[in-house]
Amino acid sequence: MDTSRQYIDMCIKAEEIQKRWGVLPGDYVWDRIDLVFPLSHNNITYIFKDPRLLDMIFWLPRQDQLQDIISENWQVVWGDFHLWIQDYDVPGTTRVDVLGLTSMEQVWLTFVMYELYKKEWRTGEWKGIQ
Amino acid sequence: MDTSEQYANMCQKATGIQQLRRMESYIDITEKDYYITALGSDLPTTWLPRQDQLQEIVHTCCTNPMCLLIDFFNYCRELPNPAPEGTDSMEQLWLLFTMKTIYSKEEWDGD
Repeated sequence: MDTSRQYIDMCIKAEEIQKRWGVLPGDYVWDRIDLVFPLSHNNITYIFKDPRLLDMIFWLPRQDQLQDIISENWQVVWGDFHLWIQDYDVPGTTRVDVLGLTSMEQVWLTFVMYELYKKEWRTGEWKGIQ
Repeated sequence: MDTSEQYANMCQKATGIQQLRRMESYIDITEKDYYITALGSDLPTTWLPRQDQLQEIVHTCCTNPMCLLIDFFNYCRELPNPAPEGTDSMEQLWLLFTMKTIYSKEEWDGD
């Protein structure tokens, strides 16, 4: 599971993805004291008692959770992902390299942001594709 | 995350994968990892690895995710389109790929 600074930044700034979060035990989160941890049942109990706690944490989705955002049909997701990875015009390089993605979580998040919101990770921000 | 009976059976029979997990402690298993626990028992019996955990097992030499994806695409290309009959999730496909890559189980049928 990617808990790097880059993935944390990508997740924090992916507001559309944060809004889709249905809080569950085991979900990885980053909090404002710069800790990354999976939510425990106790954490969830506290969140339900005081929903303001949600303002202090950000969801770091796993690959399966990002895939579920696209579709429940994994074969559709895989087919679209495969096409997206291959559909890159610049010879000798890949979309993954050009965007500086360093983990599978980053690749899947970038795919979801492209597929649903037509945004791409450039210079530390999600920017709309022209 | 695939928590189906089929994936649990596949994982149970992937003894090499299960042994990898047993080398580590069971600390915070309920929060971090997926396990099957037998009825009436408190101890987890079968670990259900997530995709990132399978990728960590199989992807040891290169930090670029594209290296792993190319190997995975090549593996998938050899399969009946788009995946072996009866494969129901990305977790199952990654488990098959891991078993082939690490344990050379070419046409692994769960045995």
